[in-house]
Amino acid sequence: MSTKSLTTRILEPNVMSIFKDESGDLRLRIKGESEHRIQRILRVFPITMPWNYIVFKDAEDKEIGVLRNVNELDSESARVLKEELEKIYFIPRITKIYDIKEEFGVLVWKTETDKGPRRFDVINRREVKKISRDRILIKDGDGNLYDIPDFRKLDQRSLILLDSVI
Amino acid sequence: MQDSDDGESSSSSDSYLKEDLPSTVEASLEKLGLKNKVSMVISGDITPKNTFGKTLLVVADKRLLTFYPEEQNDPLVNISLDEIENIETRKYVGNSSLLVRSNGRNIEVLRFTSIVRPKIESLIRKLESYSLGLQSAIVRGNSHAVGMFQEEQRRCPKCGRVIPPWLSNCPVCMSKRKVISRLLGYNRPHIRLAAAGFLLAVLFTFLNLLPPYLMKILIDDAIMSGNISLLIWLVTTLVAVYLLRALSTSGRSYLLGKLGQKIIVDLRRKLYEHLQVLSLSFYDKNETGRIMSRVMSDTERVQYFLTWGVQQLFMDVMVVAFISVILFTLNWQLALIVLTPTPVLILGMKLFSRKIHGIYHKAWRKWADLSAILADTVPGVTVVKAFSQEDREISKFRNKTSELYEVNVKISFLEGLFFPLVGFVMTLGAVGVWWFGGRQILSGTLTLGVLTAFISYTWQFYEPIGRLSNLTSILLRASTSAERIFEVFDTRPDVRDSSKAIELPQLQGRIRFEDVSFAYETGETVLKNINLEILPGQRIGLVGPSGAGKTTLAKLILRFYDPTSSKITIDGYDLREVKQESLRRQIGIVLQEPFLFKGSIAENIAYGQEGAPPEKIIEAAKAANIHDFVLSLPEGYDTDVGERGHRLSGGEKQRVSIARALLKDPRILILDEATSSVDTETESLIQEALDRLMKNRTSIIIAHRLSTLKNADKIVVIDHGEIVEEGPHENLIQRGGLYARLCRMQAALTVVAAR
Repeated sequence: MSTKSLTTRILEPNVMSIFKDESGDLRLRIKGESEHRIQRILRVFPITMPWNYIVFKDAEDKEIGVLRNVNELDSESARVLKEELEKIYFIPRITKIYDIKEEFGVLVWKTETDKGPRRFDVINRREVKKISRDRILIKDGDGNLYDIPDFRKLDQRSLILLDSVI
Repeated sequence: MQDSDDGESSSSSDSYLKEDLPSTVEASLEKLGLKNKVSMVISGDITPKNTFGKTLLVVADKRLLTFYPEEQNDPLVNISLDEIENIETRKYVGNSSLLVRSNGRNIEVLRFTSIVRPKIESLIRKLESYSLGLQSAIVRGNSHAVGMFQEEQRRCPKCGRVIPPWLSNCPVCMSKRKVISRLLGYNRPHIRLAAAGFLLAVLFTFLNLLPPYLMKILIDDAIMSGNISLLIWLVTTLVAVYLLRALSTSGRSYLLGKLGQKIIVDLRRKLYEHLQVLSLSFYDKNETGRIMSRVMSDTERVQYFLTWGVQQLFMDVMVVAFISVILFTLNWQLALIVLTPTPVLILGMKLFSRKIHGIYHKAWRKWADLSAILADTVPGVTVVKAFSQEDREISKFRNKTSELYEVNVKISFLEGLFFPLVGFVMTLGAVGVWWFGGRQILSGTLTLGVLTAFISYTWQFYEPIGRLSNLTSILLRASTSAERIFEVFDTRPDVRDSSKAIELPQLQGRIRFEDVSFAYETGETVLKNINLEILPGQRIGLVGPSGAGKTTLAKLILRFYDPTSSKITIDGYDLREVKQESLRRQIGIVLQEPFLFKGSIAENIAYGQEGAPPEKIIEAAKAANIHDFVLSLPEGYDTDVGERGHRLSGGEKQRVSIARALLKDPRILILDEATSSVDTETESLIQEALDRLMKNRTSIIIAHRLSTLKNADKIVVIDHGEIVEEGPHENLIQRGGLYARLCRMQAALTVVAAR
């Protein structure tokens, strides 16, 4: 445990590139260093800063470092990384609410998301969380997350439905 | 505590610790040549014969004497203060005794019940400061050393009662009228809303008076004389009146509702702000539940009174006045008949509300008992079952339910009896009007219309009378709630920044206790004559039995309380002379029960460090051995820890709180049993984190597990509020004192556990 480094290495976006190799593995190349096969990428702040502070872990699951901002990468690397992150963190954004019904204490949501229509059950009202002035995060009974980045921008009907549960 | 009004407080302190002397004792003192040198007189209330009765303790010219005036004139005890080696109280059941040690012998000086205790504690403190050479304390009966008790002696200028030190006004002299008028002051910022609501209330009252009068015109002028156009006019007017009445009601409801919410938001915010300002001692004295009920339900009750209560009151008074005028102008004889049941009504209502109030209260208590049983047995069901006590619990519950049943039946009975009775009395008035009115109609001196109107007014008249007779209880309830709220507002923080307080510069971390004593407000001395110097960067272990005063000592460094005597300095600055914020900013603390607030892990690590860069948060988490765990959570550092952090385990919470302390980067660190509530494996993770945290900082470690203190530069052993041993681990082991004994005991326990 104590052999671990305590400092965080900040990865410089202008000297690194991210790409996929023939076998589909994610790779990180840092100028002047050996190439890493990336085992895992993790968001440090998946909710509040999804495109900032990305941790890279190598094949041995050791932390290589932290990238401050995805958008500072060259466009190709950014595209690859974003695609990968979107896959790992599958948090649909709700664009429209068709219905929220309460059945025996369970909230049944029928929604439209940026990933397509979705029906899900929320077991506890406390799982519909207002995490900032405009933002709402919902966790369904199976632990899946749904995001409403700015609920004030929803249409009137969706707003009325949402208002009844927050 | 503060140095204001020196002359005044010393005089009040004189009367506090200088009671009157009976002439026999005075004579005896005269004989000893001490009569004019008396500086303190305190009476005890238990005699040497073990009965209730007066005994006296006198301090005069550096001598301590006691008298038992009922039995003998000469002193029982007469010793010089300089001969006293130690002075202490011993707590027995229902009484305590003041013991003095002199020439190797314990002398019982005085026995007393707890009423006298504060005086005795105060006396001891003065005698102790005397023995330390602070002679002025005893001669003047006042000094900085006894600052805390100076406050206890504040008396109300009006009634002479001692004002509790945490209040700024005398609670007895705070009259109900003053409370109510102070309460009404909360309407002032919203005076326009209140006035608009009031106008609508007046309109409503006025409109309510119209229909009976219209009825009179309808019967006498329209129907009797067949005037159809008048009938049409009357009906239209009636519709208009009712419509207006409905509008004014809804307008008033809205305005008053809004006013009420404004007041309550105001009150709650102010209360909460004040609660945050108050010192820890306030929270020692008040349970969380009581504080919460003040913020939540007392404000609600006050608000209701300020809006609906006050307006209803005005309206009722107006209605009674208006209707009286109308009745008397219409027909004064009938008006007198209407008034006859009024005294009965008022009296009955008063009696009833007094009676029912007690019973309502009883029902409420029974109800609370019932919920208490549930709250007890449901979580304790394992124990109930393991001891096969189901039947016992069932019968307990059964008893309580039947008690509740009986009270509620009684309420039903009383209500069922009273309200119809009141109704009957009121009908008597109305019937009287029928009888006399009917006769007047027959004799042609009264019209049918007037009689009908009269009867309607009669009913409208009795209702507000009933309510007004209940006025005192309404006022009482509101003022009780208001008092509870004002009590909080009037409580002054004990620990305040003085006006001359300076900003503490970046600290080195040299802490000095200069002969510090401390007592909580109950009077119990917790720390006695602590002399301690902690050098910058040193690691100090604080060890001792539970209740020895270790945590209190740590709290004094944070200045949650001020020492009762002498001072604590950090880098030479007296803690009382620096701004609290600048002090606490430089001290980190990790408690046994880490407290996390609702919010994300990142927010909790950055608590008090708003805007800390994410890199720093990550680094702190890494040093606290929690980074990998956090990253493994799906929501990472954005994970919501839940209320009080309930979604994390004890060890995880502890490491988050260590990360919090690391991020704060304090010069001084206090660890209060930081590893005692976690399992051994997590402990090593935490210990490692703590070691990183303590590097280059002055650290004070309070620990039960002595093994965690091996790396400490110095170990301080505290027992009964005093430092009994001090030195590095090896030295203390060699010395074979309390520390060595504690170590041996723990080692033995570890062996037992290992088996």
